[in-house]
Amino acid sequence: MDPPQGETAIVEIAATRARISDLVMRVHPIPPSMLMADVADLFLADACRDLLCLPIVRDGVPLGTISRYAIMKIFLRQFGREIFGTRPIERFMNSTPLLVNVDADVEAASAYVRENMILPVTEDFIIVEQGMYRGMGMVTSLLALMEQRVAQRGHALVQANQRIKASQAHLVQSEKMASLGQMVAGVAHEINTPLGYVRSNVELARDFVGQTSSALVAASNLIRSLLDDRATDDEIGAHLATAASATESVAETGILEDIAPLFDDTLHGIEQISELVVNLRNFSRLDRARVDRINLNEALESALTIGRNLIKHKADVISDYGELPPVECAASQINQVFLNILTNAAQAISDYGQIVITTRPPDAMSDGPVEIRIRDNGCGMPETVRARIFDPFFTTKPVGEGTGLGLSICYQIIEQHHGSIDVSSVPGEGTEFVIRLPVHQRAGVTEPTAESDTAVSGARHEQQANTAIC
Amino acid sequence: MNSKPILLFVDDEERILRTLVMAFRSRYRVLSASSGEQALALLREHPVDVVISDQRMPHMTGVEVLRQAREIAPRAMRILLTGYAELASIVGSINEGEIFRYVQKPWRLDELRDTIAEAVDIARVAPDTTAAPATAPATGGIMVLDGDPALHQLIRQAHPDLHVELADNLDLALTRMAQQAPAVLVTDLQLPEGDISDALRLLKASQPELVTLVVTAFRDTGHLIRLINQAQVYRVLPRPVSRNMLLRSVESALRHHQLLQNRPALMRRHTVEATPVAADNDVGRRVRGYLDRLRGRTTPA
Ligand SMILES: Nc1ncnc2c1ncn2[C@@H]1O[C@H](COP(=O)(O)OP(=O)(O)OP(=O)(O)O)[C@@H](O)[C@H]1O
Ligand SMILES: [Mg+2]
Repeated sequence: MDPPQGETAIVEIAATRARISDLVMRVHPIPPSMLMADVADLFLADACRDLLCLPIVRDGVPLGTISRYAIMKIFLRQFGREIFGTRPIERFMNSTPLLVNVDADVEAASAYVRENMILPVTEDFIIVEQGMYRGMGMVTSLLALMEQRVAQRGHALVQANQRIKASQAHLVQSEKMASLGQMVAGVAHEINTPLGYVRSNVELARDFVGQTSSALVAASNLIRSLLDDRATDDEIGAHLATAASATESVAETGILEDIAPLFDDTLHGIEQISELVVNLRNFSRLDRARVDRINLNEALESALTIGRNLIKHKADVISDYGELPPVECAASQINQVFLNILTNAAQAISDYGQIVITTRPPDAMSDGPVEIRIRDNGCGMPETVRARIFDPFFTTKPVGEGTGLGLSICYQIIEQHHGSIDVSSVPGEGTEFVIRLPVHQRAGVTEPTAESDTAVSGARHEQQANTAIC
Repeated sequence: MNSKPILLFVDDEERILRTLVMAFRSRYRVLSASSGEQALALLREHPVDVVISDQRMPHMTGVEVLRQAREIAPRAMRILLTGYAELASIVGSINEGEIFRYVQKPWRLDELRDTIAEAVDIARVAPDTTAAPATAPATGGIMVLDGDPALHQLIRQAHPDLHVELADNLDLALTRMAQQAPAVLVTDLQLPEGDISDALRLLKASQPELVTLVVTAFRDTGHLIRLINQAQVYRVLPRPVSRNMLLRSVESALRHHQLLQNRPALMRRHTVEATPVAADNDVGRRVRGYLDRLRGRTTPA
């Protein structure tokens, strides 16, 4: 796609009480050459958390915008991140962004924005001054400002606001799926540790075989000369010396004592690698039908293996598994729920603690739910935090560590499975999550992630196509 | 220092330590630590020549261990040996760890042996025991190689007394550098002529006193690792870069250059890996042309 020839309506100065300047958010613009994957990372930064889109600017002139939504749509396609992540963002941007003059009248500006925005709202607007980039403005803020001003129109605006909130919630899950991909990459790295010592051990063993075989040759030469009647004492002495020094040098390496543990380690490493690979496949379940009958104890084990590099330094895991009937669910999603909760538990433990997992079948003779409890003895949380943990973007973790999406995703997934998720927590003592899932699903668990879709060309089309969904 | 050289391996996986001890104990005295804390204690007690650390460990990361090792045992050469190539740790290992090599797990034993042998040699002939000068020297120019003039402007304002040049392409930069070799090169990786990593490698190989600061939005981890091992870049600043971070890095790059000038032996600590880059490709030709010009200038006719 070519860079835009911007033909965008700019709201003219219409009133004296200009207030758009109050809305200016000093968002650092991105250059058109920036790579898609880097832009995606920017969206995770604190400063951008509330923004629907980022401005693309060259020499101070706004060229377009790229929305969180557009990026997620691309990354959700198979290998989307790999294929498109290294391309310049310019090729994917919306080249007809909403532009509002900094000294425009608020009313005129919001009329313009409402007329030109597309629902669901996936883009904010650029604020310009004499054609040059000044900052970003949030559609929600603009509408809120109008709300204050025009009481009568309040009703319609509230509705618009709600629609926007709903569409934002819709984006949340996609974002988390993208980060799942990154986590899988992390597990691949986890394999490198056992691979490291396995390879090294095999190389050492090869060297060892080289050394011992020369000692063996020397020893058998000695034996042969001892059995040979014609051999002189001098000859025998020479063979003896060679054999002695060859066996000595083997013994000196200390490898005779070490060879057994070396092979034990190697076998252990190979087991580790196999286990990771098997679990990785189970975890993603890409080769399975979406809704399946799953042994949840196995799913928990998969999640534990996948999260091992996070958990192993933080806690002993004690598993108390009951005998569960197979449960109808979307395996990859339920795995994700377990992983999120286990990750949180590990993160809540400051030094070293305990995570207890308990599973119980439905009460005998009832068609009630199975129950999964995950308890940690970490920091716990006060009521003020507990009340908000399922809110999207609610996090108490430092920037870069938490997106605050984990539990909101869990909540959505469990809800889609007609189950429940509850939490109890005591500050300083720990936290327990209780998940209940019905064994059978009523007709059709809803498809939770974006369906594979058409090529991304011009964000506008995408947005229009999606209006029907929300 | 005729005793056996001392290696210190740091890894939280005991099996890794076991195999490394076995592989190296015949030629070196080998210490091992299963945590960062333990490693730092050993560094205080023993005159370690090379410290080789894993990155991901509980409590303390490898980058943190190596950062502290710089202070506790400045003579020891630092190597990161990790299976987890993640951007933050790579950037940290450059900027904070100032490491000699970034080696990935699984490693090849013969290569690791060579790398460690080289590091041991260097630790013995070029002990880094002098502190860098406290203030940046007022000599030595800065070349800014970037399409965006903003960086250049910033640096020029901060160093009005230095010769700060701007070039927006490699050829221009090399021409100017041949006229006056700068102390510090501030550059993006992506220029109009493409990726200039190869040029950086060749430059550092032949001009070890040139201190390179890379400012980039580019985040290919494999690439950055090569920039450590083959170009010994001094700092990598991800774009968008903050003003303070940039200026602080330029300052310390200037000081570092000064240090290398005062104690040329230290340049060995930044020896680059033999590059597999064919010198007769396009970039190679240009850099060689530049080096010829430079020599033509410095050697009296
Ligand atoms: N086991 C727990 N113990 C204590 N606090 C918890 C626990 N689980 C969740 N929390 C609190 O709930 C907040 C929200 O959790 P959530 O998983 O939604 O996001 P996050 O963990 O902060 O970020 P992310 O999951 O994206 O890494 C956390 O920041 C934390 O304050
Ligand atoms: Mg979480």
